[in-house]
Amino acid sequence: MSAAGPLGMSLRGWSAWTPGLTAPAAWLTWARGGVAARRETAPPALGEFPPLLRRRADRMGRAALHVLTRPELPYTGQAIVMCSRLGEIGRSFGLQKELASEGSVSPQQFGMSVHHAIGGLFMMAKKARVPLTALAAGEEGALAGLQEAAAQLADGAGILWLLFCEEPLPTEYRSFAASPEDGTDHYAFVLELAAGDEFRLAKDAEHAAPATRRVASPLDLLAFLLCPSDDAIRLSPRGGWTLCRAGRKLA
Amino acid sequence: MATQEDLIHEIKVFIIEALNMEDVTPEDIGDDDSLFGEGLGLDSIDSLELGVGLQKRYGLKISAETEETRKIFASARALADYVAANRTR
Repeated sequence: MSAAGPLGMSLRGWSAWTPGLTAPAAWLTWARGGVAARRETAPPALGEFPPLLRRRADRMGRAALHVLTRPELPYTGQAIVMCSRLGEIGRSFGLQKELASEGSVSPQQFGMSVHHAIGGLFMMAKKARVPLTALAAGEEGALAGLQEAAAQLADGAGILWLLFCEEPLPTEYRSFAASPEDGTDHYAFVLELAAGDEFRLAKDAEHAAPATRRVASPLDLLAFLLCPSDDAIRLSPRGGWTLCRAGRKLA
Repeated sequence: MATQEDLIHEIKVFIIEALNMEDVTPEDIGDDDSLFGEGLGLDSIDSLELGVGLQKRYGLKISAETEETRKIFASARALADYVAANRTR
């Protein structure tokens, strides 16, 4: 297969939340390796979001709705691509336990168990009638989200929001985690991306050497985007997908 | 013995808990306030949720949406009246 040409995009804005990290300045310090996020379980408050809708969001959903409604990144009708490896896995597991023990499930919980439900809540609150794409790409969510965003921008979207969100694995699923750290993050962040050339997503044969065995996580991607000193990030150990800053190449 | 007022209060607490209505207290819901539409603002998924919850808690089986169902869910008082007359537990 021939190498794909570079897909350009520019970062117009961002908003991020994880326990203990909320202010943009704190995230910039984090991106430079200055602070570690705390492992807490309390979701953020959603005071500005309609109560009748926010009551349906669970841990991951509340984090997602929080970053989608920050005043520093106003929503003006952009299409949304949302990426989550497991979605609201706590809700999904709760439904399975309820089904096993009682033989029926909560209609409300069931209705929210589809992967795009949180994005749908946001669209309902904003009365937005624009495309919403929900992706679950295993460990390669960062790459899949960027590919989808780049494809939509190349197709004329102009500007869109790329949302990443995750919640910790339920205790019962911990034995399936790949490592002690795997599945422990609770975060959400949204990137406002526009057609442009600040960054280039490319499957570049010249730089396809498998320099890393680790898949870049969405938080690795965010750290790269917020850290201008970094030239490029390899997104996957397979193939040569990288995201590069314009005018720079992978070292 | 529990009075009708006690049961209405109990129904309000049940609605709030079943539907995860944060920031809403029983005092915020008038006895005769409409539960759906312009009143409390509940929707069709909420009516299903309440139906399942009423079955578990009071042993009631409420049929799918009919004119009678709308009357049962009209207000906290109407729902309490129905529960009082039909509960099996």
